This record gives sequence, C-alpha cells and structure tokens, in this order.
Amino acid sequence: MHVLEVNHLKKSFGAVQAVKNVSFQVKQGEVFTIIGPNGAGKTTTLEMIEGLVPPDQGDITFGELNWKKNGEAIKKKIGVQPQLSAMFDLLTPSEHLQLFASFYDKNRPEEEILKTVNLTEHKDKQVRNLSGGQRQRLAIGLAMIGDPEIIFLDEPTTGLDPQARRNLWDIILRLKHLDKTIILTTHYMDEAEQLSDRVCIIDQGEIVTTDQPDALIKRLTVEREVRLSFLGHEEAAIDSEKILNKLSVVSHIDRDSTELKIWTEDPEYTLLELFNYTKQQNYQVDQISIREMSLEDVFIEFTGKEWRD
Amino acid sequence: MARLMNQFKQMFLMHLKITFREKQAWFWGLFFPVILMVIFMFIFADSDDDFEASVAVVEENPNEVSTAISDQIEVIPVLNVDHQLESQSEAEQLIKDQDVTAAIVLPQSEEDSDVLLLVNAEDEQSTTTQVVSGVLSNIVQQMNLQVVGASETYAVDFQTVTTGEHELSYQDFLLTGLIALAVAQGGLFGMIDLVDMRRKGLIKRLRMTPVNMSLFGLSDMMMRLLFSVIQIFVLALIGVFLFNATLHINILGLVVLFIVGALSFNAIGYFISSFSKTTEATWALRTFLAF
Ligand SMILES: Nc1ncnc2c1ncn2[C@@H]1O[C@H](COP(=O)(O)OP(=O)(O)O)[C@@H](O)[C@H]1O
Ligand SMILES: [Mg+2]
Repeated sequence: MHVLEVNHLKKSFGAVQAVKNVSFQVKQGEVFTIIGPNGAGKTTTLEMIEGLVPPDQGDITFGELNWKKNGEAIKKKIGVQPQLSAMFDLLTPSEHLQLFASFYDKNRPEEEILKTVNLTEHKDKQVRNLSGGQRQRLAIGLAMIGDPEIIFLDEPTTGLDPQARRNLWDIILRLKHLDKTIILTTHYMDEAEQLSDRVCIIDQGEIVTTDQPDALIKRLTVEREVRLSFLGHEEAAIDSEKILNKLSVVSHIDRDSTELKIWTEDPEYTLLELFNYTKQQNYQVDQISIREMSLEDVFIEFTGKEWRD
Repeated sequence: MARLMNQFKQMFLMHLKITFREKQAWFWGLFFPVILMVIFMFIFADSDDDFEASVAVVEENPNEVSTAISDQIEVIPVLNVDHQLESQSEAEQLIKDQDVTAAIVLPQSEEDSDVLLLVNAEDEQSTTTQVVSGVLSNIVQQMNLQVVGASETYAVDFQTVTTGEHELSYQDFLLTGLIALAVAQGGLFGMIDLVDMRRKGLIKRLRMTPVNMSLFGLSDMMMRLLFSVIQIFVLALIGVFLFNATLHINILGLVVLFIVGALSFNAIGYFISSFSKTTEATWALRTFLAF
C-alpha cells in the first residue's frame, strides 16, 4: 500500500529550476530517504509534499487525500521537522510539546516523546539555552506529538557532531519500530545506507535513481578493489603481481613497494589463487582489505560527478 | 469544541509565559513609563505655573522622517516651537542670544535617524534641557517604532494626550500621556509579535500543523489587553496616590482606542496569514493594508 505518491513534481524559483521532474511512491512503514548534494532540491520537494509550497506541476496524493480537497485531514496525518525549525526561544521543550499537542485530535504522551528524543532531563530549560542537537531533537519530538502516520525529517543530522548524529539515528530507528512511515532527507551517504529501506538519489532537481541501498550498490560495475601488503621484501609483491596478472578476472594492478591494489571481478577467486601461491612461496601477507562499495560510488557512477558533501 | 477551548488555553498560556519571561516587555511596558513618570512628576512637583520651553526646529533638508518628527514636536504642549529654521548656524545664534532654550536639528535624510539637540552650554544641566531631551528621545523612540512598521497604534494614541481638557495640570497631563504611551508601547514591545514570528519562521512552522490561526490571533490580543490593563492600573496607582494626579481617562475611550488601534492592525495580519498560502503574498498584503 502506498501512503504517499508523488508524480511529476516541478518547481521553479525565477530562473532556477529547483525541482524538475520528481516522482516516487512511499510504502507504509518504510524509511524513504532522499539524498543529494546541497541545492539538489530536497527541501523544495519536501515542502511541496508538506503543502507549504505549491508545485508548478504534478500531483501529490496521500492515499485518497490531496491538498486541494483534504488539507486539514492531511495536516493531521503528517508530522514535519523542517530543515530550519523555528521555535519559541522563551518556552521549554515541555511547553512546546503541550502547545503543539493542543493542535491535534490525538497525541502521543509527552513523557514518551521526551524519552524518545532524550530530552527528559532538559524538558524545563528554555529553548534559547538548548544546544543545537537538543533543539534538533525537540524539532523531531514536535513532529511526533500528533501521533502522525507519516513523519518528514529534513536533514535532521546536518550540523550535529558524530555522537549526536548516532543518537538521532537511534531515534529514527525507534520511530520506524513504531511503524511510522519516515521520509528523510540527508546529504550523508552513510546515513542513507544505515537507515533507509529505500533511497532516492536526487541531483539538480532530478531523480538519478531509486532503490534499496544494497540493490543500488549491487547494480554497480562488478569490479572490486582489493588491497594487500606483504611483510618483508618487495619481491613478494613483485612475484604476486606477475601471478595475478595472468588471471582473467583481474583487470588492473597497482604496486607501490610491498603494497598491491588489485581490481578484480571476482575477489574471492583472486585471493584464493594468490594465497595458494604465497603459501607455496612462503611469502607473508600482512594486511588485506576489500573496499566496500558505498552509495557514494553509486552517486559517482550514476552522475559521473564527484560526491561533494 | 473542547479541543478548541484547550487549544485557546494553551495558546494563551504560551503568550502569558512568553510575555512574563520577556524582560523587554516589562522594561518598556511598565518600568520605563513608571520611571519616566516619577522623574517628570518630581521635576514638575513644585511648579504650579505652566512649564514651557521655547525651542527652534531646524529642518535643513525636509524629508519624510523630519516632517514626521516636527509634526510630533508641534503637538507636544511642553515644547513651544518659536522658530522654524533652515540652518543649524541660525539656531546656534538664537541659542547664544538666549532667544530659545534649545534647538532641535532634524534628520537630513530618511536613512539618517539622528536627531540633534542643541542647547546653551551653561544650560546643559538645567531641568529644561533634561525635559526637552527626555521628550525628544521619547519621540525618537516612537519614530523608531514607526520605522519598524507599527505606525497605526502610535498615531492614534498620541491624540488622547492632546485632546484632553486644556486645564490639565502637568501631573494630570503626564499621567494621562504616559498611560497612553505605555498602552501603545505595550502593544508593540516584547510580546509575540507577528512580524517577528514570521521573520523567525514560526508562522511557517505553525502552518505545518492543523492549528487554528484565528485562535492564535485571539489569544495574542487577549494577552495584549491584559498587559494594557496591568499597565494602566500600575501607572494610575502611582500617579494618583504618589503624586495626587487626577486621572483624566475615559476608560471606554481607551478600550475603543486599544481595539481600533492595535487590534485592527494585528487582526488583519492574522486574518490574512490564516488564509494566504504563501508567506510572500501575506507580506505584500499586510504591508499594503498597513497604509
Ligand atoms: N524560495 C526560494 N527562492 C529562490 N530559490 C530557491 C528557493 N528555495 C530554493 N531555491 C533554490 O532551489 C534549489 C534547490 O533548493 P533546496 O530545495 O533547498 O535544496 P536542498 O534542500 O537539496 O539543499 C537551490 O538552487 C536553491 O537555491
Ligand atoms: Mg535542504
């Protein structure tokens, strides 16, 4: 069942085409991540879906509901954490939650939310005295207070330190366990890989590709990069290089003294052959690694561009 | 219905808390007018005869701001504008000759907000100088508010100061005037200001929720009303009991003034923001309606 369907969204600001032709569907209970560099059109896409920015073209439907006819009903179903969340500096997290709770028919309990976003200890501090991470967590808490079915999080971890980012990942996974549908944007590849059921890579207002993170990675060219280094003399590396070059699965090798970088279509077979040889020759292998393919490689592969964070 | 009541209650509580925690609101709304009143009351406590300072106004380069200020100066009974000059040197000569107590040099252009007060060096510490500069800084203060875009409230309010009976003693004049001033300022300072909320993106944040924006506006007005009542009460208490002033206030008039002035301006704002889809459009409309 699709809880959200977006078809052919377009939005321009003057001469800037922020969103060119964006379509996707989101299933109930999934974490759907929109990832792309700054300026790719993530926020604009979300704001159109959230009913804040009217699209120039395209449709947005939440099941049977659309913004034209069912605006109020949609607002009750969704929770939003905007990229820059404005809050009342002089009110506390607890007071924010109570105020926002009064806007909705149903609520999640305040204590539960404070616990989920780790703010129980700070619930009575005025917002102006909270740290960036604490504010961000409050913003997520506010997105949850009306017990929404769909939660939108716009770059929830941008600008946070690594520890705070991990904490937020936990929060997002907790929301997922509550069976919420989560639509997330980020420009951190590792985050998209860790959290999402599906990712949608967007660049310059256009969707590059959409799929499960591991499926995207599998789609990449089969070649993998294997690195290894030998103990002792260069000899071991030089001899190994000769042997490996004879294998048809190996396309290319770089050698730097005792270190080898091997590009191969079949890392397992390549290593097996290599180890047979090194054992025979009594060469000692020191370190070995196979580079993990990541979404970053997917982005580079699909756009032909460097990924800039 | 119960939900709407709860929503209203929460919003009012929010306004109450914010107002209570906003030191600016207390300072400008209560402390400042009280201090101003106490100072002025003491200055005039012994003088039975009318106090008047004769001043010259220098307007070298008439513009919107300078005209507005000079209009304000003219309606203030304490200041008698005896000379309208076009250059600062003429004014300096008049001061030297002791023809006027002070000269007020108005801003050269709309961007330049400096108002210069010229006085005779020997008089620098005199009561008159202090009164004139006090009044003047108050006007400039008001002008700043106008620049911020809250013109309606002030313009309406100042009239109550001048349309009172002519036989007012200065105590009475001050009391009445300061109350009106405080009410006007209270409506502008400290409390949640729609313009400021929009600037910070709070309106946008609220629009992501099923909030009822008219309730929001209503609770804001209730808070302003409450604050004004407190202001009037405190100022009147101090004025009447400490300085024996008579309260020349038409409560009904003040209520009407409050409603017509502050509310209409804000109400229109709330009304529009609860309808209009985009913030930019709302802004344009609000600005348009303000004139
Ligand atoms: N209100 C606006 N007015 C003009 N240009 C805008 C506006 N909002 C976004 N843009 C432009 O649209 C593009 C996409 O922006 P945005 O959706 O914020 O990207 P992202 O969230 O992916 O960083 C950018 O080039 C940005 O400058
Ligand atoms: Mg963004």
